[in-house]
Amino acid sequence: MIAEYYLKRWRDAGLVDDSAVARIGAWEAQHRRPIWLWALSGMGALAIGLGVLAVVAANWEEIPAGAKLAGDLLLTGLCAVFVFVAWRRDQAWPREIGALLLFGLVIGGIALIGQVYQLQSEPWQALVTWLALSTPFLALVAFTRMVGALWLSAVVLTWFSAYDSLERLIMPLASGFATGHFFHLLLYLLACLMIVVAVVRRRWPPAEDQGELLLKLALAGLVGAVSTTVAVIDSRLASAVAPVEIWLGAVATLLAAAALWLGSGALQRRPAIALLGASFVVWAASLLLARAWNAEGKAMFEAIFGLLFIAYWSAIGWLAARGGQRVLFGLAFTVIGLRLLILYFEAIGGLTATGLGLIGGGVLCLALTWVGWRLTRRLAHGAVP
Amino acid sequence: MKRKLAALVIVALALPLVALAAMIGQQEWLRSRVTVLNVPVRGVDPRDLLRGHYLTAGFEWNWERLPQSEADGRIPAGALCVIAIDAQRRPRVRFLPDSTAGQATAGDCLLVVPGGMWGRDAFVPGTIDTTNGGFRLFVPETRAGELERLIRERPGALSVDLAVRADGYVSIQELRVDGQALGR
Repeated sequence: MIAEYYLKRWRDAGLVDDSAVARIGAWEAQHRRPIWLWALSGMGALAIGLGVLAVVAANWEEIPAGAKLAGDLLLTGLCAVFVFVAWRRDQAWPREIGALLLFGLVIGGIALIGQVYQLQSEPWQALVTWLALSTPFLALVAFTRMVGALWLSAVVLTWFSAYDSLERLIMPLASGFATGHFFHLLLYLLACLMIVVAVVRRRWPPAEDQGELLLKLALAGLVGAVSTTVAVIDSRLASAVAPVEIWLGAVATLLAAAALWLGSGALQRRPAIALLGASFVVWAASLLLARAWNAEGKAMFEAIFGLLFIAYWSAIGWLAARGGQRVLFGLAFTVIGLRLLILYFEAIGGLTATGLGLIGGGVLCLALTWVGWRLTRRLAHGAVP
Repeated sequence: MKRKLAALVIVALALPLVALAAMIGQQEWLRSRVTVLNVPVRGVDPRDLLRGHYLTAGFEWNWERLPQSEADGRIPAGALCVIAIDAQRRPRVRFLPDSTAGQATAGDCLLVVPGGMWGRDAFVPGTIDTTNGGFRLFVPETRAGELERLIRERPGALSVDLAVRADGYVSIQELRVDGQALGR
């Protein structure tokens, strides 16, 4: 539908003739990927998986435990056979949906066993078992971006449900420090870990698209982790643990950089490694700055963190411009504008000042829009701003 | 190459099935060759994301004598000594401190269950995960409200069967309401 809209626009502008429109239309019809059908079927499989979990959770008393367990194993076995047959026959749609369904049945089975035998383990242990049992078959038979994104969501869910246990793992390295202070490290480590996984995934030709999406999501996660750290960190969070965090962050960054270096071509790896490097520098700088935080100079520190945030997003914008990524460039520009506006408001107080601040902020936004428009147009013509 | 890949796919697809069956087998095996104790429970009610409704409960042990606090008020580390089991399989217990004096009396115990004290009379076996002396009992959705009332208003109505291995490993085998097993 989008292609038809653009074809009509280009034909009306005299850029393509009728025969070219007909040829492009025929090719698109033949190679059409009905994304809405994939999304709908994905939602269906997800709903079935969640439904199985809810039925398990309802814990029907009338059905004996043995029958429930046997039924679950039978259903899981049948689904596994279905996925295998679909894989052998190279039927993409049934294979992907079947794999997603099996993914849901496995967590349903684990939950059922925990319920029947009154197991007292933490939810994250069940989630880790789920990923350990499901990742091998998903890696071998599921290649769509939809399944990749859902798997990544499951990893993120598992990672954060194990937050307390991960903190306890890190705690001995930062002896005597209270819990709740490692969130920026855990965000950063997860993003680096996912970069490694995505690069490895992208190396397998059938899963190249899936790996590409995972890499984009992991890099977006990295930017999110660094931005969150710079936005919310202060002395309470980092005074005692910064050296340990920076050390662990450096190891994770090196691993991710090595994966990107070995797993991508020269042109592909440069922007990703540059983004990774800039992210680590900004992330580590914010931790070091937070250690030096002085309560008396709070306004100055907030301004420094604001400028660090802007510098980071300027680097992202510059990398996006060099790579010709207009959407990312526009996003970076918008984020910088918003942060400038917040910085502007942080520096003022009182009702009159707030009113003047709103007027000034509005003028600032309009000025930034004008600059952004000019830069985006230059980008469209291939010039680096 | 294709055959190797097919074999890998079969192994990967069979893995969850085999692992789930193994988890069931392990639980069944753990329940064979055990001594079953019946212990009353007390507690409150929220929900579990994965496993539905549950009651948070604590054990009501039939103490011969309660553990003695140390000079600084702390309860010493130690284990539970089962000194007698009645006809209803209800155990009479005493606390066995890790000290030499405690070890000297361990010979009288029918069973020794390692674990920890969470308050003056709340002992939780080490193999049952807890952060506050409570543990979860998964119950049917349709009876969650009734059981929650029962556990609050009629102490002793709810009890659990604990499967205790000779090495002190404990797992919850059954939830009972007035002596009747639930959901089996």
